[in-house]
This record gives sequence, structure tokens and C-alpha cells, in this order.
Amino acid sequence: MAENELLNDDPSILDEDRLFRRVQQNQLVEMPDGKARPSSAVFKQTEMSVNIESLMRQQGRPPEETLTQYPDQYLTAIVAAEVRAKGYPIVKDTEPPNDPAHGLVPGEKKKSFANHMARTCVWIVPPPEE
Amino acid sequence: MNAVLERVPFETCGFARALPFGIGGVTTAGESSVFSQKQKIESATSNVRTCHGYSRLRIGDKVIAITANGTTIPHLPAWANVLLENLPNRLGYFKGWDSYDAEPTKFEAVAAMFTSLFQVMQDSYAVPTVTALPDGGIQAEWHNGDEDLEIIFQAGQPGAFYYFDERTGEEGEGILATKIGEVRARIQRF
Repeated sequence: MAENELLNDDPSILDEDRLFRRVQQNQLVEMPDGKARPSSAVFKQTEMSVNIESLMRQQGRPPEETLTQYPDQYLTAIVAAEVRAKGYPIVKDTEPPNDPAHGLVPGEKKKSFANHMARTCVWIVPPPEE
Repeated sequence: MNAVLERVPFETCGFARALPFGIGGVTTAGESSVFSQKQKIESATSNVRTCHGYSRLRIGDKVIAITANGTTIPHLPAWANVLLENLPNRLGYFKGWDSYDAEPTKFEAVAAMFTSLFQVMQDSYAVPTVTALPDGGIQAEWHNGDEDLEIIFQAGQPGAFYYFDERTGEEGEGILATKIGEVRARIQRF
């Protein structure tokens, strides 16, 4: 990461930490095997909100709680190391009224970043298989 | 062919898909917005109606009319009908539609997308999936497991494209208007 990005990155969020991101039905794309994957659009938000798994764990909250107010959505996870490898910092943003596990991946997202996240993310709460 | 954005003060066309959060009309029932290619083609013409020779997509108080050089088109290509059929389920209609702070989809982006797709698409090409962007833009995308292709219309920016091939690591992007031929060639790979 560039030095200015390092200034914004929070090293207390470890590389192996997972970052949770909600996905809506209209953000799914179908793969040839019939399974659904998030569109890269999910990862193109400039101030990209995530829930940080380590914070949720400290708070005694399962990852699925990210969907508590959003029962019709799905949940995917990306890894902090992958985000940083693409040159983006990760910061905590837990001040109320934000979720106490809320974090941000700030910065204008490159198309390559969004595509890589879409390809490497893992379902935590997947859409039902058709 | 051009996608033309027209403002219609009253509903004059019996178009099938009036939308939730809009003005009047029938609320669409929740249904999967991810269709198999076969399902897409089969359902292409069932809910897209022509009215006075125009094919229109009404969203709230705005209408996108598909015309060719200012004249009406009674029959759209199948891929366009499929996109119009699915489009209402793929847009964002209000601030925060994605449960974060996404902007509602801008109609100008939708019109720009259709205009560009009419430039690059052929009847035999695979139909893209359309996805709303958090900045109010929209993108058309193709995937075959190994390759990804996107035609992207971010709010206030010229149409762009991006591709990635996982098998070779080949990756690239550019301004759509300057690479129409290249984009057409890539669409044919899907």
C-alpha cells in the first residue's frame, strides 16, 4: 500500500479478518453452473461499508447478525488481506448510530478491485439454489 | 438505434411493468431476478407491449422509449425485450436501496446503456445481466465462469468497459466509444 493509504489503514484489523457485506437479490448474477454470485457492483461503493468479523466476535455476535434488519438479503465475506493487496485501507467506523462492528473500505474503487472481490468472496448466507 | 428518454405526464401506454415506489400502477410481486438464458428468451415478449408503435419502459413519471432514428420500432430484438423484461427488478429506486447508501438509478444511465447496447449487440449475442451501481449508474455484464465482461455507465461518466480472463490473467478496461469493435468481439465469447 502507498504511504498515504497506510496512514488511513487500521492495523488492529488483522489480515486474516473477514469483512462482511450484504447482497441483495438484484445484485446477484448467474454463473454457468446455475449458482449465483455477487455482481462486482456490490464492491464499487466509494465508502464501502462492511462489518468486521473480529469486532463481532468480541461482541459475541455471529456473522449472520449482519442481516438482522435485512432478512431478505444475503451475506458474503471478503478477506482483509485481499483488500489491502489491492491497495485499499480498512478502518473502523463504530461511532453511534453505526453498528458497533462497522468498518469502511474508503476510496474510489477500481474495476479490477471490484471484480476481484466478486470472484474471491465467500457466501456466509447464500441465496437458495434454484 | 437510440434509447430516448421521454417525459410523459400521464400513463398513455398499457405497459406491463409499473413499479413499486413509483406513481400508481401494479406493484410487481417479488420474484427472482436471476434467470437462466433459456428462461430469459422464452419470457422475452410476454410482458413487453408496444403502444402506438413505441416500446417503452415507464418508471415512475419517466419513460424510456426505444426508437430508431426517431421512428417507431414495432419489434425489438429479443435481447432488448429480455432486458426490458428484467430491468424493473434490477434497478435501485430510492436512496439506500442496497441497505447501505446507494443512490437511486439515474434514468440517464439507463438510456445511455441502451443506446450503447444497440451499438454493440447483435441478435445472436448472449443477453447481459444488468445491475444497478451504488452511485446511481448501471452496468451490463456477462460471465462464463472463466471470463467476465462489463459495460459500465457510472453516473456522469462516459461508458466504459472492463474484462478479465481468469485462465490467462488477462485484464483490461477502456472507454467504450473508442473500442466498439473490441467489445463486440469480447461479447461473442459468451
